[in-house]
Amino acid sequence: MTYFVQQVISGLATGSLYALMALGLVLIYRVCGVVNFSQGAMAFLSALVAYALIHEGGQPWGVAVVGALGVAGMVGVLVEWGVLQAARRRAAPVLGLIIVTLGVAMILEGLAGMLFGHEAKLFPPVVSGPPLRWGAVLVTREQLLNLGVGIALVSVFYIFFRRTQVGLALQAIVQDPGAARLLGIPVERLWQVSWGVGAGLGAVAGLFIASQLFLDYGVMLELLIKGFAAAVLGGFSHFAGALVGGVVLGILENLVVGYISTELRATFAFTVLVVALVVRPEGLLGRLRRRRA
Amino acid sequence: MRVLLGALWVGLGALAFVLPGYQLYVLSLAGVWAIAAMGLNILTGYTGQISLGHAGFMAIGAYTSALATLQVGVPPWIACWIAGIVSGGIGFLVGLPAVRLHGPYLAIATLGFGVAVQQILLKWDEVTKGYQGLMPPRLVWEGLPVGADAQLYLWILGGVGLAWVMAASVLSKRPGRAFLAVRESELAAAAFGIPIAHFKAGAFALSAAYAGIAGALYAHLIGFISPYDFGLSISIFLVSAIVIGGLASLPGSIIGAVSLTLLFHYMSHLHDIRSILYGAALIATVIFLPGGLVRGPWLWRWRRKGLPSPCRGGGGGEVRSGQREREQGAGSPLLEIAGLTVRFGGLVALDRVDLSVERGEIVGVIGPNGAGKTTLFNVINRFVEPVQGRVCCAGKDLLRLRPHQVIELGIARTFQNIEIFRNLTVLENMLIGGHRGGGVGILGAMVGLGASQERQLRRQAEEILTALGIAHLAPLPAGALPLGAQKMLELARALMSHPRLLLLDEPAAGLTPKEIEGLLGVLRRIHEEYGVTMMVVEHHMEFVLRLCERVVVLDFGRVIARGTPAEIVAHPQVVQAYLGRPLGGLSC
Repeated sequence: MTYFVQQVISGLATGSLYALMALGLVLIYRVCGVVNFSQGAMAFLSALVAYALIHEGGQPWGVAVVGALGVAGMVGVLVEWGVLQAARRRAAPVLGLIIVTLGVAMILEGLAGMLFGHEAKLFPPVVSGPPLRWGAVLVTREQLLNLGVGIALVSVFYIFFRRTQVGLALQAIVQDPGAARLLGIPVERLWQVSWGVGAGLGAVAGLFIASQLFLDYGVMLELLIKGFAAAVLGGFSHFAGALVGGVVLGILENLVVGYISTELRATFAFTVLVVALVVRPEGLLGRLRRRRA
Repeated sequence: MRVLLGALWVGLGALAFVLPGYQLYVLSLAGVWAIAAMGLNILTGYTGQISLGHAGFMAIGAYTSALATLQVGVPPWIACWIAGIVSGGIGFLVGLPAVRLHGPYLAIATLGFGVAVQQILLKWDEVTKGYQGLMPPRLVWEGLPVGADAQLYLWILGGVGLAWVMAASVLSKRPGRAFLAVRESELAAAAFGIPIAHFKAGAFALSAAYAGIAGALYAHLIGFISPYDFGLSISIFLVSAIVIGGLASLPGSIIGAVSLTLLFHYMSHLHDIRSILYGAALIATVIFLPGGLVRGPWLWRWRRKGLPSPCRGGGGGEVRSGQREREQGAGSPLLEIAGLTVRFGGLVALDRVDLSVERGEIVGVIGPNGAGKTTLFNVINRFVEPVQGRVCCAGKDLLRLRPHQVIELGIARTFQNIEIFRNLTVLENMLIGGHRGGGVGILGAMVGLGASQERQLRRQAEEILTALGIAHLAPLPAGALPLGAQKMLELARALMSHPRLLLLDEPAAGLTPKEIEGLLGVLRRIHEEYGVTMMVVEHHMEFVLRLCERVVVLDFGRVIARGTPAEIVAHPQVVQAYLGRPLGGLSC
């Protein structure tokens, strides 16, 4: 039982990072109608900047996180403003928009390689100290931190989305972009905001995942796929779904690894992804929109 | 054209004896990617299904072929075919569930598939040797007086040629048009008898078979494979190739694959800059050249086959569709609807509707917006599932059919929102309309069957277009036509299926008075000369009253009146439904 609780807590901690990634993807998808296949590359570049701040700049972790957020936000805004807007103006189809984000990923990956080299990078630990005890259950400080980061960012996001003027405008766009535009909401500007915020959420998730493993593009791609799996599990059109999906995925993954085999860690997310898409494409919380003639 | 291409191939073959080994190796690789790109284009360009996991199919092919040669001792050139069959089979299985997924969801699912295949190959190391990889024999015949590099190049060149010819044969015939129809409008495709799931999964299978053969050739070209050769970047490379070369174009696939491979190998000293250039090229293509290199203004255009010469004018021709319903079996109704109820959530769209259509009749269905008229058609087409009720056509239970089987009973329709295949030519639209008439399937077309049926279908399409006076539009893209011509095309396409019951959903909406006159004439001719039974949903009262023999009025899903046009205009409930309750003391 202790082992079980331990695994669940561990899964909850990782899951909260998956949830952040998924939340970023879902935000961009819902507001802008684009699935961002460059989210992994964006997180990669931002985490590299954070790494450089810590290692070459000698900055503390807090500064690095802010730096990564800033870079991700800027890249996100630039991609929407510089590239997607042009593609939309020429009425690029869904396939075209997906391909544009793939192109962005290639550019960012190349940039990252040019600026920071190709070797995997190790972060210094964010927190140190012995694990905390809670009865027989051990919780590492890193797990607590991940959970804390997840909860904090999700709360900020919720307040932003529910309570601020910009958040309300974003909700309006999600409901009906055409009507939002007629009401004088600057839709283009808000697309950029969503890209910035979405990329930032992904960057934070990427940074904290990398701080526990190491940082290279493969790790970020895996995180991206886990973000997709979490988003799809939750329905891809729900913010709450992304959170639930991320947490459920994190816990399930840890249980599978803990009880069956560590070998399955890598394939598990894809299995969840494919099964979820096939069995329940509308997600755990989603409703399927019917197509009518 | 064929002579030119043949000469081009001979010229390319001659290169085998001229170029040094490394150049031949790069060109051979380009050929491998070209085959895989053609396969991906069948799926993505023609059928509109995105795949970000095609490296997975290549890996399946490569490992199948490598294991067949290493473990079983099959010669490489046979192993390549086995690889194609295995990969195609897996592609079919992957395609079946993928049928439900659209756009970005499919991209995500296939992305997951590709990465999963790679992971499985890495983990399943008793068979695949994991990251150490396998060393299959190279595709070289000892004893031929040609060097190994030149041989490999020639085999692969031949493979590209064969792959092109087979794909071209499939794509230019009935199955190829079905792919395009699925891409353009699933609704219209189903209404014209195209089983969507069948063709989507078929496209997946064909596409995966191409990728599998390409993977096998890759294995026997290099002589070494590992799971890392088939990562996500390869899937993205293939997508880039077809986008940059040109979607839905076989020459485009080859041009894209070859040019990207050459750039890749001759810019390898640029490292990361190469990746940036690739990404930039991809984005620039989507934005500035959405048709790809092959449709760029600087290249000679591969034109689609249209009618040989635009023939002008209407009339004259013969509408050879339909059976003479009036002469046979008069008396029993052609279409019988009883107690039909449809609900959308809490909304009752149709409420216990009874309706029958006699053979040879023209029945009008009118009613205010939201009365359930189009829903009625959608039930007949099996797009909407009723809660209860019975629909029979010529004694057969329609509700047991799947959407694409409805047309087998001779029920064709037009759509309220015009569901033509916008990016296809008028002629192609017509040929898809004749899909029901049967003909060659995917496998048959691959080996070159079906030419005579194709000719016959074309002749029929020309006749109908001439009869409706739009033959001169045949080579034009349907989406570019004015509204009136688009509606005429929808009608003409419906006639291609030899219908005995035509469902016309607001045929007159948006037409000018002159066009309406023309339409009335055409419909009467189709009806009188060939006895096609019709059901017409229309708001244009005068049109309905002049065309129809009998009118049914729906309001809030219920039949509130039925009778001859004269009876209907005088019916108090109809007047109320249309104009509201007359106010006391006010007269209009």
